Amino acid sequence: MKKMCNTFSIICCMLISGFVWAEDSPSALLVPKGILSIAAYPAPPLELNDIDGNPFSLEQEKGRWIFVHFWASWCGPCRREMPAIQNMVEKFKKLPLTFAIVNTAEDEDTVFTFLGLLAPDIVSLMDLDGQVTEAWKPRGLPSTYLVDPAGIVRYQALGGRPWDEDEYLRFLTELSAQSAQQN
Amino acid sequence: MRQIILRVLLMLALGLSLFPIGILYAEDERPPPGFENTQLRLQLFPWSTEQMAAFFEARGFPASMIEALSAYCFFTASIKNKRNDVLQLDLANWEFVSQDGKLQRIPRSQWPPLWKKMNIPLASQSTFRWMLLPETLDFYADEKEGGNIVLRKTTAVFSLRAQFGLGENTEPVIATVNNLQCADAAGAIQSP
Repeated sequence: MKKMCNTFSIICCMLISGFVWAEDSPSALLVPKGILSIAAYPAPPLELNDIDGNPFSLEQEKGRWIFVHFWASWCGPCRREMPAIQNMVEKFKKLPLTFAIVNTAEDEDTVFTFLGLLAPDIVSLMDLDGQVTEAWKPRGLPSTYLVDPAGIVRYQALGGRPWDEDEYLRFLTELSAQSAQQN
Repeated sequence: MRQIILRVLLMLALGLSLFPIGILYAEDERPPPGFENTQLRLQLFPWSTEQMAAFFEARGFPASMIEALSAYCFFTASIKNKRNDVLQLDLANWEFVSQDGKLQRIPRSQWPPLWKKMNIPLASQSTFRWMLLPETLDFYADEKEGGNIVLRKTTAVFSLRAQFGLGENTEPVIATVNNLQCADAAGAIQSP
């Protein structure tokens, strides 16, 4: 009987630790193609105004997963990716996932015209002198990072991705569900 | 019989009229200079001075910056890693060689002091920097990235020997591209 109790408690411990690991480790998720689970590091500062002049701070968004995306109108892959981002943003309106879509070093007119044609519902943040982008050190443009609710960069996307496809939506939905559980 | 002959003649005439279009189309569809094997694809797209100036002007670059850049030869390089592991780019291992010897590539580090001296706005500096191919980058499996390579202008025909690393104790991949030329090499080019 004692032996059975010991075995039972060991199994319980294993199960509990398994749950804890699954919650702590984002790598337990099914990560879509082109998304890298990277060595975690604190997100660099990101405080910018959006194209309408409203301030945004990454710090204030802690407690939710944040989709940080850097783009420019001159970059071909950014042009191809932006409609998919708009579709994705639409789908996540009611879920706890924050979008920080940052234009790198362009003016309001350029951004307004570009988004007006390709993704009119996206409100971009304006990194007017490119210095915030510089601090994030992307591999190139476009570049996307996923920041966890504690402000730690966990994932990086390689180039442009089809964000409105099922595997990406499922992945982001699971991440945002984690934010909801923790809040 | 007459009708058959007429039809054949008509088809011949139509065929002959389309022949030059076919040639033109084939010429337009020529792939850019490049290299491809089972491990990587490298393509080089030359920019003429006019294309470069128009592009930068549209991005609001100051006239002084565009004038300074017109003294150089631009190629946009597109690289795709076709391997299942990392392919290492290090531009220090790229050699551009003409009959007269090695050509000088302008590394990323040479631009900021010049822009600072010329009081170029940070936004233009930033855009220019993001358009350059990184000096070093580990390409992940299936990753594709691109960016500009800047050379001193030359009228010479030259070759590129680009070496990509595969990690320690592994032979690098060598990509060779011959018959390269600056886009407006035919015109009179003055180096600053």
